[in-house]
Amino acid sequence: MWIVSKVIRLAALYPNHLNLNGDLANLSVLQKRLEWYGIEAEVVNVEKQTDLTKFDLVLLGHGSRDAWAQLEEIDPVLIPSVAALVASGAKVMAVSSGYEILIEAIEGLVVKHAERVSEFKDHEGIVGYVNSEAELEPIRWIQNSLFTLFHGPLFAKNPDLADKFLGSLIAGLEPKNEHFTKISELAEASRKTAFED
Amino acid sequence: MRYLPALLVGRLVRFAVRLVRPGGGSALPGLVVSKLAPKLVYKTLNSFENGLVVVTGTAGKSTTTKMLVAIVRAHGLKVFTNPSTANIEQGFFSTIVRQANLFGKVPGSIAILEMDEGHAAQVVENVKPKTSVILNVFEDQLDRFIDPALVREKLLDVAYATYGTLILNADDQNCLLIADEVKSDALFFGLGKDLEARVGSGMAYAPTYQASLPKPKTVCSAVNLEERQLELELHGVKANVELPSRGVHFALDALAALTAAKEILGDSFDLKLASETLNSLPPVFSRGEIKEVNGEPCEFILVQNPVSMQLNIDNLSLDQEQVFFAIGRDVHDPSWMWTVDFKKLKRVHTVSGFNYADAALLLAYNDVPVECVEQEYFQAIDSFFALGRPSNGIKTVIYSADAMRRMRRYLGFTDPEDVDRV
Repeated sequence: MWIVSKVIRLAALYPNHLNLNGDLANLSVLQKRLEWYGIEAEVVNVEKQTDLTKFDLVLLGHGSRDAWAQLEEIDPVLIPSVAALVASGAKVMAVSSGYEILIEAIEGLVVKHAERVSEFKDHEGIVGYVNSEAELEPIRWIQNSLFTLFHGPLFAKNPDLADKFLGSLIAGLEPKNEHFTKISELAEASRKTAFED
Repeated sequence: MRYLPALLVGRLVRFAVRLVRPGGGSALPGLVVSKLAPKLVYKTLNSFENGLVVVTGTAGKSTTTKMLVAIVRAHGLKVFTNPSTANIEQGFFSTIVRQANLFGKVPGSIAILEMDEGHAAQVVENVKPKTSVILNVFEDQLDRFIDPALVREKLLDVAYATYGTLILNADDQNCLLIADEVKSDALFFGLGKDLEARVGSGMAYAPTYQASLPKPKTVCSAVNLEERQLELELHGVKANVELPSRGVHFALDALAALTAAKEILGDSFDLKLASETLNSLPPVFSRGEIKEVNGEPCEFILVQNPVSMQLNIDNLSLDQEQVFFAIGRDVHDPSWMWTVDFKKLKRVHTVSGFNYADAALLLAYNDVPVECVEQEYFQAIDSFFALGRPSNGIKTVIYSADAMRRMRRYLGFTDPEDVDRV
């Protein structure tokens, strides 16, 4: 069981740079779901070099080419620090270009590029929008961290994935009322709509 | 004569489409003609005595083009233009099919065209604009454009292709980067210092993430703006204009149109006549338009991107009791809606449209209470307009372009697009 008094801290890394497709929505969804579960959570915007270990969960979103170029200048240790968090077993969610840059740092490789994919994809029941040239698995777990090519409000569309991600942070999350059922039904309809003509 | 067969076929297709769907616009005639006579559009666009004017950028293209066309026409020039819904190459074909004589010649001594920011670069490879107006770059339609920097690069191609005058927004760093790159003498429009200090730009231009370039001197600036009343200065002469709707973005569109009109018309430009023309423009369709349905007034608001959605939500009168929120299939990737702040939207009565589930999730996670989520669009429309007069505010419909077209057709509005300038 979780400690009820504790406020869960969700860090949005450089939200003015890394929210090109609404990736921050994932933190809003987590925060709201925690609230529905009766757990207080806050989203903290990180805009400068900061000790990231003080957060319960960190989001590295997707940014434009120019945004990443400027981030490299203003926070050159950002990617190594997030990579260290992943290695330590902390919870990181890395999205699209954030995924690509972080995985290159962690595994010391250069991600290959193929023809751009810009469409909804279904990966083992998880549905999301991909707009990337990177040849990467759409969803990948490394320890407790989630790497995803799906940008935007992935957790809104896939509430089970959201709860799975929260699961290693807070044990015993069980959707237990009508509200959760309603949200799950809408999410299912949203996943279905993604593939309708 | 070489285009005669293609144009005849195009007309026949258009006639057939209208029989099946009265009042409905269609890309089909243009598509057919573009296959039969692919060079027709360029030959036509190159044939205007006073050249081609291109209006492009992310937002405000329709309004600016409409204003510019009205001003230039008021000065007696015959203008060829496109409906705002036909602003890609295919649309030019459709417009030409509609207006050309059978030799491929369209009436007018000047072409003023709104061009989609993704297609303009391709068009200017074949037709060089005499004047180009580049309004802005926003983070918009990223499923198509991927990255705002890529849009800026496309607009840069338009700037390079322009052999006459380049007109740019002094308040958008993306436009300043374009000017910096082409190194030609561009003309700038923008908010005046006092107004900028008072209201801020109010516009969420795509950040360039580069050191800010200094704001250049403007030839046309907004001195003051109160509701719809704009006080402006053009080449040092002051004028007052009543905008077709309120909002800083409409003021910027008016400045862009006046700057371009002065450039096109030269000495024959009459600022008084131009201002009067702007004053007499009807409210911009579907962006704050009020129409009666079942004897009840209803406001219809079109939202097409994060910027227009944010501006319109922020401009809503608080505590509207009956809001209809419909996101149609034109929103291919609904992710961008999650960058909008919904604090000002206190409640929604009905959610519908092709993307109803995404829209409902968005509102649920933003704590906006929703009375009814209805998958069947026409049923949702029927129920909403059967509700009777709201006790607070007026009925308000917020919809995307596809949801707009379907609803307008369903409600029997004569032209489902209703944004035709031709």
